[in-house]
Formats: sequence, structure tokens, C-alpha cells
Amino acid sequence: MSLVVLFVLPGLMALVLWLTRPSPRVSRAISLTAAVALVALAVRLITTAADGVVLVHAFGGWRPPFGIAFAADRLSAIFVALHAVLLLLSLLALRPEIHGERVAQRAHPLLFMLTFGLFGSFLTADLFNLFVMFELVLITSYLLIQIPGTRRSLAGTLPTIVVNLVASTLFLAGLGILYALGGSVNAAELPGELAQAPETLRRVALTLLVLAFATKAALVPLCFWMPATYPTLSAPLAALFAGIMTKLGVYALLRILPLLVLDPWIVRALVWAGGLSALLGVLAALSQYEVRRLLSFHSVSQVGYLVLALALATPAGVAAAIFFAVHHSLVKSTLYLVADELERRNASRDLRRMDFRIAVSLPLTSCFIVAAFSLSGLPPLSGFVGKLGVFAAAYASEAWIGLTLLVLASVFTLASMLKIWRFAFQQVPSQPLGPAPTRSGAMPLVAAILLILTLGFGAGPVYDYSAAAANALLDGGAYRDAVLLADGRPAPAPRVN
Amino acid sequence: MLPVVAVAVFLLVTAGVYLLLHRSLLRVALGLTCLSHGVNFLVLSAGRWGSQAPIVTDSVRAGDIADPVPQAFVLTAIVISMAFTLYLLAGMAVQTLRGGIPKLVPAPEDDGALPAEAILAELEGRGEEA
Repeated sequence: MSLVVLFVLPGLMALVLWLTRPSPRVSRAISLTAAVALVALAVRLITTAADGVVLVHAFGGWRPPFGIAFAADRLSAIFVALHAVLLLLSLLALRPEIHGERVAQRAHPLLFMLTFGLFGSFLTADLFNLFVMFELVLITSYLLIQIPGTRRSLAGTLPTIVVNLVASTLFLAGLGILYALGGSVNAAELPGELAQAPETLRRVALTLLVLAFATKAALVPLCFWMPATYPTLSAPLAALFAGIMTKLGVYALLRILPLLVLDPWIVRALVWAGGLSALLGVLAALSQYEVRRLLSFHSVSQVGYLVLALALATPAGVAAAIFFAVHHSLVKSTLYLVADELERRNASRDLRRMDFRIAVSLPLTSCFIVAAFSLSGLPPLSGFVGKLGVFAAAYASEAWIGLTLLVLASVFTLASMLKIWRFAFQQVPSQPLGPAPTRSGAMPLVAAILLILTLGFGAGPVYDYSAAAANALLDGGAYRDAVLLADGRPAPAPRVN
Repeated sequence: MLPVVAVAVFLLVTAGVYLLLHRSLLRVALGLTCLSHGVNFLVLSAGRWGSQAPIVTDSVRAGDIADPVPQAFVLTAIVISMAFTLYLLAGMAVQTLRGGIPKLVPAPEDDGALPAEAILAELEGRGEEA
């Protein structure tokens, strides 16, 4: 039941906010209340899932393989919780008096619609349903990108639509072939059905799915739509997008991992794509001067770590990928918020025009240092734990080339963070000090930093949870049993006439 | 039936990819439509092509019944792709009305040449609507 509430509440909120159009202040209050409620529900879900319980809801009482079921195992639950937390952070950061009343008023209902689609994607056990949820997320995110309504944001939207629509079409094609092979599109049922399927056709279908998800996750060489779009978003929205949208593709790859391991060729290709993304993404980031564009290319690099780790398809690798996803979402969102503050104070997006006299203040500087060190993987922050996990998993799987690429990328990550530091926090330009800067509230930043520190020092329980999620995912038994016998009721006895 | 569908899928996807590679947004929209219809045929052919509706009565042989699931998939996909096409066309209409030529171009990079006021206005959500 709680699954339905979790799924329906954001949808209802979106409708209410959209139809009633309250004033920005009221709208913000309602949104924050709802987001807190969602976090509470997500925490309850995650505590249930941590015990190994797979909550299932079969819509209309139709059990799979006939109907569509939502199921929350540990993997789904952690992504739901992650999004709920990021939503709350970005709603806190999105203040009508700072980012504009128009932006806030348009964004609130859309953010809940986005949440509706994301929760649906994370919870559904049906791959066709996942396709529908993807489309819902996409159309909402296009509207969110267009909120500023400027020429720049419009130009950023259209290529994104086209690229993602092509990806969705590939997803649908792959699903069609999977249905032809396995007679089902249920994530729990397919691995068993496909084990005996003809290899070539299965490879075609899985390649199509992987191409689609890799586009959503912005993996090299399918990543270029993302750095073209995210810098045009309003900052709190960019923080949310950078945190969760690429993770949607990663989540989908994780969900179909039991299918992918059927084909060693695809898994190996993913390891390569991950390693190359990690290195090329960070090199592209190093060459940028626009702060948010630099951070976008960074996401490409970090998604590379994630995908390499999950494509190792070992319990250690998948556990590292799940932990890394949580860590990277929090850290990247924080860095986007810091970037917003830097841009706002300097009235410039370009690092070369920034002035340290404006940027340096104890809260902002310490926030940047914590987030940047965490992203670079310095102990004792969360990035260290995540990277250590990924490296150890790659070492154990003897993926030497991948490991080399990741270590190289890691060095350049630190270099690119130093680049931001060198320009934004140390540079003294020749021009005189500009007009007094506007500042946004520090609350979301401080909250985000506390979360990062908690994740760093309290990595143990989260990592244990990720490891348990990885084992359950690769084993698949508990998920399959729960989904195919939805609601825990025994199958109805055959009727005797 | 299946060979005919295969040829249709081939033609539609080829035309779709060709059109997608253009810069003009109208061609891109048409290309996406072609591509999605090609894929719809592919999905439709995933199930069994039958001559009878999937309603079991005494007079219908099980072997003649069409598989309803891919049909449901395709129905959903058609609705979604139509919505997206409309959205693309609306975006084009907006661009045309405001004097631009509807083309796919990347968002301009900020090379530091923009005046500070313009950037602040954009960051604070007061940016001029294009």
C-alpha cells in the first residue's frame, strides 16, 4: 500500500499545484511539506527494504505475468530515498525571491511531476512500464529546462529532446525483441526466460537497451547532449538534474543487469565504455571555463566509474556502483549549488572573470572544499570510500585497463577541482570590484555538506546496505519470488468445474 | 506477412535516420515520426500475427488469435510519440513566430563576453523570454 501512496502523492501534488496556482510563497510552503512527507515515506520504505523484504503491489490485483506490478527491493528503495532527499534539497534552494517568482511558480508542479515519473521508474518491475515512466520523466524535464524561456534555454532543449527521443525509440525496439524472445517484459521474469534464447537476437535486443540507457546516463560517446543542456537550467533544478537524471540511466542498467550478464560481450563493452567515459569526461571537463559546463562533463566521467563498476557484474562491483551513485548524487548537487553561488556573486559564468574577493567567505569556501575533496576521493570523505570500492572491485576482477583508466581519471578529477579553486577562489582580476553581489541562502548548502560528511563518516551501514542490495540483485531469487507471487498471497487454486 | 513488415521496418527506419541527420527541425520531426513508426511495426511483429481478435469463443481456433500485448504496447507508444511530435512542432512554431529559423543548434557557450547584468538577469529568472 505504501508503494501506491509514495507513487501517487507526487502526482497529486503536481495536479493540485498546477490547477490552483498558489502564490510563490504558499506554493513553496506546500511543496516543502510534501517533500518532507516524501522523505519520511522513503525512509520508511528503505528501513523495510533493509530487512530484505520486497514490497510488491500488483495494480488492479492482476498478478504478473498478467498485470503490472510495482516492487521495492533494496535497490529501488535506495534510489527512491536518494531522489526524495535531493528533491527536498533543491526545493529548499529554489527560492522565489532569488531565482525569480516565475521560475519558482512554474517549477513546483513540474518538480512533483518529475518525482512521479522517477518514483514510477524506480519502483516498477515491468520494463514497458519503465519505458512509459521514462517518457514521463523526459517530457517533464524538457518543460523544466524551458522554464527560463530564454533563447539560450530553448536552444538547449531541442537537441536534448531529439537525442532522448531516439534513445527511447531504441529502448522500445529492444523491448519488442525481448518480448518476442521471452514472451514477457517483466524484469523479474525475463532473466529465466531469456537464458535459452538464441544468442544473436538476444544480443541485438540487449544492445538496443544498453544504447538507450547509456544515452540517458550520458556515457561516452553518447553524452554530448548533457553538457549542452544542464548549464542552461536554473541552478537548483540543475542541481537536482545533475544528481538524479543520469542516475536514472544507471538505475535502469542495474535493473537489467541480470539480463546483461547473459551476454559476456555486452558486459565487456560496458566496462570499456565506462573506463573511456571516466577518462574522456574528465579531460573534457578540464578544458572548460564555464563552471557548470565543467561540472557537467564531470558527471560524464563519474558515470563512467559507476558503469564500469556495475559492468564487472560481481557483488563487490555492483555494491561499489550503488554506493558511488549515492555519493556522487549528493556531491554533484552540492557542487552545482556552489557553482550557482559563485556565478551569482561574480555575475559571470566564466571562471576567467571571477574574483576571489567576492567568492571567498568561510561557509562557501568550506562547502566547496568538502564537496571538491569528496568528488576527488580524498579520505575520510564519501568519495574515498566509493572510489576505493570501485578500484578494489576492478582489481579483484582483473580489469587492468579499466583500472588504469579510472586511476588516471581520478588524478585529473583533482586537477579540475584545483582549476575551479585556482580561478574562483584565488584569482585577482585587474578590473575593480563589481556591484554588490546577491546571495542565496546557505541552508541547503549546509544541509548538503552535512549529508556528505555523514555519508563519509557513516559509510559502513550504507556500504553494507549496498552490498546486500548487490547480492540480492545478482541472485534475483527474492525479487522474482516476490514479484511473481505479488501481495504474498498464494496462487489461486485451479477451479474445478 | 512477416517479410512485408520487415521491408516496411527497413524503409521507415532508413528514412527516419536520413531525415534525423538534417539540421532543419521540420525534417528532424518527420524523421522521428518515421523512426518511431518503424519501431512500432517491429514491436507489433514481436507477437503472433493472427487473423482473429483475442477473444476466445467456441468458433475461434487458438492458433488464429493475434497476440494482444504488442498491440497494447504499440498503442501506448503511438500516443507518446504523437505527444512528443506535437511538442517539437510547438517549439518550432514558437521559434518561427519570433523570427528565428527552426533549426537544431547547440546552446551558445558563455565565453565571458556577455554583460554582467544579462547573466544576473538570467540567473535570477528575470531573463528576457526569447
